[in-house]
Parts: sequence; structure tokens; C-alpha cells
Amino acid sequence: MASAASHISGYSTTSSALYQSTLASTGIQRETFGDRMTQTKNWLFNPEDGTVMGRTPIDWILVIGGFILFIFTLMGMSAAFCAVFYWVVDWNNPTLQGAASILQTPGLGFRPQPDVTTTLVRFVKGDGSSYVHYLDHIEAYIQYYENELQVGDNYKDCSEIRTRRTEELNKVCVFDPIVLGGDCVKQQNYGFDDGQPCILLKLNRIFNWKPEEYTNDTVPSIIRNVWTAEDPWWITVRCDGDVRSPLIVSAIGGFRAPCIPGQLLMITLPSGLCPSDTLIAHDH
Amino acid sequence: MAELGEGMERRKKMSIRQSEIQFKKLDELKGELEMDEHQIPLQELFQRLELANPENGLTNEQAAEFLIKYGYNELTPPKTTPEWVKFLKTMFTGFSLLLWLGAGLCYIAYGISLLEVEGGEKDNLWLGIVLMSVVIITSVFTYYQESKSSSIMESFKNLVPQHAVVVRGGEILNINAREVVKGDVVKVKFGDSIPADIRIIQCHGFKVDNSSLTGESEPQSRLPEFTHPNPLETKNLAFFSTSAVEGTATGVVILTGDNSVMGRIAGLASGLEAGETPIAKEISHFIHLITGVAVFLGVSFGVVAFALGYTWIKAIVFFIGIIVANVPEGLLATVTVCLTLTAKRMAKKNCLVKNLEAVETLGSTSTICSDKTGTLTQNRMTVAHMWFNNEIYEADTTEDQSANMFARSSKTPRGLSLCPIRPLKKCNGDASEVALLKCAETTVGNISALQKENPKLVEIPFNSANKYQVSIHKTSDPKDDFLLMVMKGAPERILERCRTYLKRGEEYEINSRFLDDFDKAYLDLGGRGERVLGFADLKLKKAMYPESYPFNADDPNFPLMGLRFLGLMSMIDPPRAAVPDAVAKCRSAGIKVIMVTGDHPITAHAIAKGVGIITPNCYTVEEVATLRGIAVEDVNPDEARAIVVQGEKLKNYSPEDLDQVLRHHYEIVFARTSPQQKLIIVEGCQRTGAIVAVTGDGVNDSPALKQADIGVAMGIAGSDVSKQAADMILLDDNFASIVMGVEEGRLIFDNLKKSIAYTLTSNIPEISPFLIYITMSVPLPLGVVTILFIDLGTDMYPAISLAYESSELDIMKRRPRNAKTDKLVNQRLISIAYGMIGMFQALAGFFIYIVIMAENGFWACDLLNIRERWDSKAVNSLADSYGQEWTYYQRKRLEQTCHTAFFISIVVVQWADLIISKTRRLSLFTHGMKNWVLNSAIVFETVMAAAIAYLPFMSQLNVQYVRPIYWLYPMLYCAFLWMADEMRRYILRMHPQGFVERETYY
Repeated sequence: MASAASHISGYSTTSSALYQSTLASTGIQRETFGDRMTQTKNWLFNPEDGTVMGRTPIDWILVIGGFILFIFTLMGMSAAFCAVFYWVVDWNNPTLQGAASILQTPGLGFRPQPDVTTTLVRFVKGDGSSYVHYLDHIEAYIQYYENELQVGDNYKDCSEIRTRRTEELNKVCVFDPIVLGGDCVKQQNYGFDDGQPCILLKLNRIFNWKPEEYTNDTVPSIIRNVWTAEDPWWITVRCDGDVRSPLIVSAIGGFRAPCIPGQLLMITLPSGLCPSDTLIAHDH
Repeated sequence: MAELGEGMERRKKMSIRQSEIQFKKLDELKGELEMDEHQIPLQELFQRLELANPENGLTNEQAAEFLIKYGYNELTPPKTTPEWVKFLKTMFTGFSLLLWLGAGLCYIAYGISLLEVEGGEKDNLWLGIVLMSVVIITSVFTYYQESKSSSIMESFKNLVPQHAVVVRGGEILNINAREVVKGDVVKVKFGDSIPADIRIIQCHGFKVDNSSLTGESEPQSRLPEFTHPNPLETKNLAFFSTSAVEGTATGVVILTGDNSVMGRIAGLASGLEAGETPIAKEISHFIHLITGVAVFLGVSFGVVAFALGYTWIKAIVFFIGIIVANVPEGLLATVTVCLTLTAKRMAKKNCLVKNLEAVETLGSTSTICSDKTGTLTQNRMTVAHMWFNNEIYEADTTEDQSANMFARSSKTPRGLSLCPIRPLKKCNGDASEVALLKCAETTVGNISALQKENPKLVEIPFNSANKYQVSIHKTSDPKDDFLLMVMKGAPERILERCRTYLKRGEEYEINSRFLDDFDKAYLDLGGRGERVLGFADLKLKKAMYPESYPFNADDPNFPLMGLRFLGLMSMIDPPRAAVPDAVAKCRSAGIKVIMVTGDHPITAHAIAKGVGIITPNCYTVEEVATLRGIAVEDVNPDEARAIVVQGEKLKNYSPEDLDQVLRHHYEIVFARTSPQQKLIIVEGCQRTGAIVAVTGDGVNDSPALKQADIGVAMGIAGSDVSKQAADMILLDDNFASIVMGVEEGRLIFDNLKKSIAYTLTSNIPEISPFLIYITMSVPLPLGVVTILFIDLGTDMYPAISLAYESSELDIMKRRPRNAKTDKLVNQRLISIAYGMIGMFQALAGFFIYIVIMAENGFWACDLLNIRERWDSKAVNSLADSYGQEWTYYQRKRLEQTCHTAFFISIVVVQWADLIISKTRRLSLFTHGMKNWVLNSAIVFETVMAAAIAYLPFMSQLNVQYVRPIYWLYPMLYCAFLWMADEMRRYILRMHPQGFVERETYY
């Protein structure tokens, strides 16, 4: 419309004109809103032809029926493909493991984390109701490691292995909760009562992970002073505090690597490093 | 969006109100020229013009006063639209608007997500930016394509004469033409442009070339006498910017500048607003459909999301996300490129398209209003027939006149070839003389030699009172004892001066039988719309008239009676050779060809018959009456399928009358039409629902060219004005190119359908992952980045390659599409693209998603409702179905692998889609894979997909390596899809009009 307007003003007064088509004044009229409404109404339901939204009910049934039939055929085909695929796939071991897997190296998880949306552990010292859900979450996890549950042919004591495990790879290393220390027990409410809570760190489970040990030449400088050539299978964990919190938490602990194929768990207790009532744990 | 619509409605209403004020003015322009300056006696005119003494002209004071009063004698250009406004217009119309809307929604979604998530969801931001870039780049491209055409008024300016010779205060002055005022007495001689509309006071052999104004090919003689109430037909007016061809004249200026006849046409042409092109209408219809689908999906899944317990903010973000996912990002560019490609192809075939959208318009055209002169005809007079020895001989009228089949053997009287009295070098003077000369040249031979051997002694030039031309020649044979006087002119005038006639070399007295034969021949030739000239000669005995005799042309002192009649020659501006064929093709393509000309009805009718606009067994009312020997009134109008309407009659027609004529006659010729009437005829056709193409070359055609859905101008013969007003220019002036244009237009319409069907298909595999993600809370199967890779990457070239697809059936044998029912994108196209092919693609994608997830450890059933944990950065050890634990980044890598594989599966299934889209009805086996652009497109998209998946730096864009075997799974679906569609098309061919065709043929 802008250009049309410019034609009006630009043209001399004697012959200035905006084109108004006779198409509008005779013959075909521009649709009014009322016309549109009538059309819409007719489209929604046309009593003459008995059509609803442009089709008779029978027509609708045919079309919808045809479509559903088509979709079901297609879905059925896909379902058949899936069935074949699941029938082929191994239900006990993931198809892609080790180097072929996207996982590659295990990540580090921790407990307690009752709320999946945050890693923050926040409670008021002495106020049991503010951390009871944390306790429950730790408890639910640690009960698997009751000593009486870790007996049988599937279990193996790995505490003295200092080299790469080569035999009995299908056996799980026994984890003794005693290594968590005296404060990290249920009776002590895992240190929450004292404002020095236990946070369980664990290496994620991965099928067929083959850790590579550092040698004297390859060890990164950041862990050089805690690393020893005699025990290369010790996995070092470094904990860095959040800059936003006044306390810089830095801890170094570790896991014993040869135990990896089984369910591995170690716990580091940053007690003493966390003097505050609130502990903020971030992981990465 | 409702608000947006209301706003536009309001703006429209406002502009309509504005226009009503101006409406009267243009109506005035469109009305017939009403003036009486040519009718009233000269004295009265002088009084009205305050011209005291026509000898001395206006006084200088008067001139100065009038100049202030009436303004300069020039065409006022309309204020041109600034370039940036034009640019913004290309940027904010049709498709672009949809993408802008999408981009806006993306920013809103990003804004909302800022409230929810720290840093917001960047995907939406990027998507918004990409959408905006697409719009801007495409707009720049379109703007660049179209910027070549400039304003119409510019070309009118070139017509305006520079200088004028006026008489003012008794002095003859040479002044700038723009200073000429009403009442000025101007002097014009041959070669000048007429400086304003003038009424002739006196003249001498004055002829003007009115072809640009009326379409008459031959120069028109001008006289001081008033001969016709119609200003365009009366002999005593000469018009602004036409040119004087012969003679001199003195006239008084009656109209200047914008008020002149030419000024009014200019005003009309530039005042007309070109309407929306058919393809623009189709695209807005498509946008309505797409928006409808998008909003429907968005609202329903937004509600579902809310019902599933998402927060309302999340629900709104989903709602926006679904709408945006429906926007076909690449389609704007695809359509633009497809149209450009066709425009380029047409340009190669001498059909220059100025406005991209006009490429398709010819294909939709249902009526062609063609000008006669220069478009259908060669625009040069040619001898068509001769009558001598009581026989009509046909002359060759083809463009090169190579086939000289005309009866040379029969002794052509010498006079016929001598008669062209002017020497050849003045050939460019009079069209009919050129015609005669050319004819003589081909029949007799070397005319210039002949003329040299027979030198002319004296000549009486043609004048409209005598209506003949005489010259006396010395003969080449010195033994001849006579001089040869030859005469040509209006046959009846020639005949009345003849005593004898020549037949097969013998001279006979004119008797009543000869007179009957003559009348018959004269009527016959005249009835063919040809201009007939009579020829006669007389031997002047040297004894009485020696070479030294003082012949006096002004007061003839030699006999002009008792001549010997030689014969008749008739001339016509013959049709171009390719035209009849082209008209026939148009007709078989269901296109009505109407002739609209300024020329005489008889000539128009004859040419119409010659080119097949009026077919042999189609008669007008008058012809039926003559055939049956009954009165015109008694003829049943239904029997006459053809009609010749004269401008005079048309003037009194109401729009309804015109509609009647247009509706009830198949073969129509409009003759003697004024530029305004041409415009009215075009409007009439449009009123009856036709999509109208207008061809023309003259200034007088420009309003009609502008009003037409597509104006086609002639590149060689066409005036600049007509070229500017047109949307398309035929560089070789060949009407047959229009047929090619129609074919290309129809083809691109079909191919755009295919392109859109192909492009839309991938919308389903793009949207459905998001819908599944919302409703089933699984990890997102396909990401925004990969969607953009499809829409703006792999899909683009294949979609464009469909523009190169050859036509399935003979598209020139079917009727033009019905603009109301045959839509570019209809519900059937959407249901096939979305409901069938899209479903295949989506399922192929989900299958590979399930496979990858399961191979990495997540079984499909365990993925349900995993979304919150999956997408939480806090969860660092999410267990899969095998007990493996995944950190956030590992999960995201897995998810991106799925995205990449999903993307690849879409690309793979698009192979089948592309092959399916090649044909709408035929089997691939009959149609073949001959489109090598398309074949290369398949290779291209595959290579591109591989590059995206495997180039190392692509992981920056959230794409991951996928195992080569994952390419194989979707191929299953690819094969099934192709087979399914071959089957659909088989059923469609086997059962025409059946259920499958009704529901799936787009």
C-alpha cells in the first residue's frame, strides 16, 4: 500500500489517481467477513450435502479408516523390525562395549542425591528433618554392601591385588563398608549430625572398561605428588570447591582400579574440610 | 496472529478510504476521452483559448501567464517508491512473513526459557537467528533479481519532444517543448515530434505516425477538417509525442502535459497498481494451510503437555517450538530459486521475465488479449493480392518473401512496377509504397534500374482530395513514341478516369461486364481487410507531349482522363508466420485468444481469420446473417460463436454487457479500441474469473499491460513504455514464444508442487521426535541443528532439482488450471506428504533411534519417562538397562549420535521421496530417471550428509560419528516407501476418479 500512496501524492493534481478496480464495483465482490462466516459454517456443516468439514460421514470413515489401516500397517512393520532386532540383541551384555561404546571412560557419581535436578546438598546442622531424605538416600544405596550380601561364588576379595586383573573377571570385588570410617555409619547419621556429612563418591559402572595406568613419564603433574609407581592402579580423585562458597574444598582420595569390573564403590569423607553447616558439593 | 490479521484489515480499510477520494480522478482517466476542441469551429476555439490572432499566436505575456496557470508541458512523474521501501516490501511479504513470525516466536521462547534455565535454551536463539538470516538472504536475492525494472514514467519521459517551434507575438520562436502552453500556435514539419495535442489550422501533405497511440501501422494524413467525433479518429488532431512523418502543419495547442492524450495514458498506466500474481495467491494459500496445521499441532500438544503436568511456561515453550518446527525454513529459498531457474531458461528462449512471480502466471493464463499490430502481424504493409486479367493472384506475405509462388509468368503489366513513383531510397517514407516496391522487386526484379531507365518527368503527389498519385516517365525504349503516364490511387477514382482496360496484353473498352468483375474483385479484396489500390496508365504521344513539355503538377496541363486500367493491388500487414500455429496451440491448451486492436474491424477480422483467432467454421452474427440471407436481428445469437466488437459500440456497453460478450463468445475481436477500452476489456476478462495475459507493443497498450495478470511486451518493435509496463518481454517479438512461456509456466507450477511435496515431507520426521519427547518423556530423538541441516542443507538442492523435471503428460493439451480449485498446495498434497511419506520417514528415524539406544544399553521401554533424569546436568550416573552408568556428557553424546543417525535416516528416506516426487501419476519405469540434475542431487545430499556426520570439526555442531551400518536400516524403509508409492500410483492410474485419486492425487 505504501507505494500506492506515493502514487497519489506524486502525481499532478489534474490526473492524480489511485487505481480502483472495477472488479470491486461490479461482478465479483470482495468477500466480507459475513461471507466468510457463512462459508465457514457451511464448511463445518453443510445441511444440503450432509457434509461435515467438506466430507460426508461415510467419506470421513473411509478416509480415517484408510489412514488408520495404513498407519497400523506401517507401525506393524516397524514393530516387526524392532522385534527382530530385540530378538537378535544380547540381553545381558550391551552390544557396544569398551572402545565401541560411547561411554569410553567411566564418570564419577555420588550419593546422596535424592533430587535429580540438583547436586546441592543443603541442610541445617542438628535439624534432622532437613537431612533425613539425604540419609535415606545414602542408606538405600549402602545397604547393598551389607557384608552378608557379599558372599558367594560371584564375590572375590580384591584388596590385595596390585596389578591388572587377568583372571576371574566375571567375579565382583567385595566392598567392605568399614573403609568408610567410623563416622560414616548409619548410627552416626553419616556425619550429618555433626555438620560433617559423608558424601559417597563412586565410579560409574561400565562394561569392559580397561583402565590404562600412568607410568613415570605420563603421569600428569597435578597428581604427581600423590602418585606412586608402586601402586599405579590407584585412581586419584580431586575435589575442588566452588568459588562461590567461602570454603574451598579440596580433597584427594582414590579408588583401587583392579576391582573395576564389579560394582565398585569407595567413599571419601571430606570431614574436617567442611566446617560449615552447609555443604555444597559439585561434581564434574 | 489474529491481532496481526486485524491490523492488516484495518490498514486495508484505511487505504480504501483514502483511495475513494482519488477514485473519481482515475475513473475520469479511464473514461473515454471527452473533448470538443476538435468539433467546434476554429474561431470559437480561438476564443476559448484566448487566442486573439492565430497568425501572431499568443503574446509573450499570455504565454507566461498560462505557463503559471496550467504548468509546464511535461509528464509529471509519480513520486517513486524509495528503494528501501521496495526492499522492505520484498522482505515482509508472503513467505517471509511466516519466517519472521517463526523467528519472533523463537526469541520469545528463548526469553521464556531465560526465566527457567540459567543462560536459557540457546537452541531457540540460534534457530531464530538462522530463520532471520534465511529471510534476509532470500529477500536480498529477490530484490536483486527484480531491481532491474525501473519506473514506468521514466520511459514516458523519453517520448517527450525536446523542442517546439511556436508563434508568439508574431515571431517564430524555437523554444523548449516544456514551455509550450495551451493556446500556442505551433509549426510542425516532418521529422518533428508533436510538442502537444494540437488541432490543425492548416497543413500541407501532413502525415503523422500514430502507431504508438492507436496501433495503426500506416501514417495517418491530417487535415484541418473535423471528420469524426472521436478525437482519436478525427483527422484534425495531432497528438503529443507522436511524430510527423510527412509534410508540414500549423496547429493550435489544445491540451498539454498530463492532460494530453498521451499524458492521460501515462497517468493511467502508472496509476494502476499491479495486483497479486496467481503464484503469490497460491503461496499465501499455502501459508494459510501450513499455519493452520502448525497452530493445530501447537495448541493440541501444548494442551497435552500442560495436562501431562508440565508447567505452563514449559507448555508455552513447547507450543512455540511445535509451531516453529512446522515452518519450512528452506522453502522460500527453494521457490525463489526454482522461479529464477525457469526465468533464466525462458530468457534463453527470448522470453525475458521482469518479475519473478510472473514466470508462473503465463502457465495459469486462461485468456490472452493480444494486440494485432506488431504482435500478431509483421507491422509492415505487404502486397497480399493482385487483380489483373480478371484473376486474383496471391502474393507471398511471409517474412522473408522467399517463396515467390506468385504468377510471374502471367504478363505483369509494366505499369504496376513503375507505379511506385518514389525512388527506393525514400523507402522508409510510406508503408504502402514500401510494400509495393518490395513486391515489384520480387516479381519484376531490379526496380532501381528500372526506375533509372524510365526517369520520372513529373509527379502529382497523393492528396486526400484527389486520392490518386500520378507520374510521367520517359520510357526505357528510345524507339517508343510516347511518354508513359502512370496513376495509382483509390480504385474507384482510378476507374472513373479509365476508358479501356488491359487483359492479357490486349486493350478492351470498359464494359458493364468488366465493371461487374471489378466490383466483385474490389469487394473481395476489401472484404479481406486489405487496402486496395488501383493502377492505370496512359501513353502520351511524344508528338503532343515531348520530353521538354512544361508539365505542371499543381495545375495539370495534361490529360488525366481516358486512361487504361491495369489492375488492382491490395496490401495488408500480414500475420507473422509462426502465429497461426501458436494460436492453435494456445487453443488446444484451453486458452482463449482475444484480439484487441486499434485497427479497423474489417482488417482486424481478416487478420483474426488469418491467424486462427476466428476459426473457419465460426461465424459472427453478421456472417450468419449473410450466409442465410436473413436480417442481422433475426439471427439466433447462440449460433454466432465469434464476434467482432467495435470500440464505438463498446463505449456504450455496461460492464454486464461486456461480461455477456466475453462469456458467450469463444472467438472475439475487439477493433477500433482506445487504450482505455483495452483496459476495460482486460478488467472484464478478469471479472469473469480469467487470468489474463496481454500482449502489446504500443504506448496505447501500456495501461492494459499493467492491468493484466501478466503483460507481455515486444522486445524489438515494442515501445519503451510498453516494456516498462509489462512483466515479460518477448525479445524476438515472436508470439510463439508465448506458447513456450505457457508451457514453462505450467511446468514450473507442476514442479513447484513436487518441490513443495518433497520439502514438506521432512516436516513430519522433524516434528514427531519433539512430540514424542514431550508426550513420552524420552530423550530428544532429533535436535534443532540437525533439523536445520535437513531444511537448509540436504533438502535444498534436491528440491530445486525437481524444477528441472520434464513434464509427465502433454501439459499443453490440458486446460489452464482453475485458479479457484487447482491449488498449488492442497489438502491432498499435505496428506500425502505428511500422512504417508512423512510417516515412513519418521518411523525410519525412530527405528534407528531405538536401535542405537538399545545397542548402547538403553532399551526402548526403559527410555520412557527418563527425560527429567536424562536432561539433568546434576545426574552423573544414570543407569541404563544393563546397569552401565552414564554421565551427563556421555548421555548427550549418545543423544547426538541418535540425532545424527535420525538425520541420516531422513536423508536416506528422502532418496525415495525424491524419486516418488518426480511423478504425480506415472510410474518411474515409464518416466525414467533422465533428470540428471536430480540424479546428481541424490549423490549430493548423500555426500553432504556423510560430510556432516564424519567431518571431524562437525562435532562442534552437536553431530557425532555414527557407525556406517546405521545407513542400512533406513534403506529398508526407503525401499518399502518407494514400493508403496509405486503401488499407490498404479491404483491411481488403474482407477481414474477413484478413491485413491480423489484422496491422494495432488
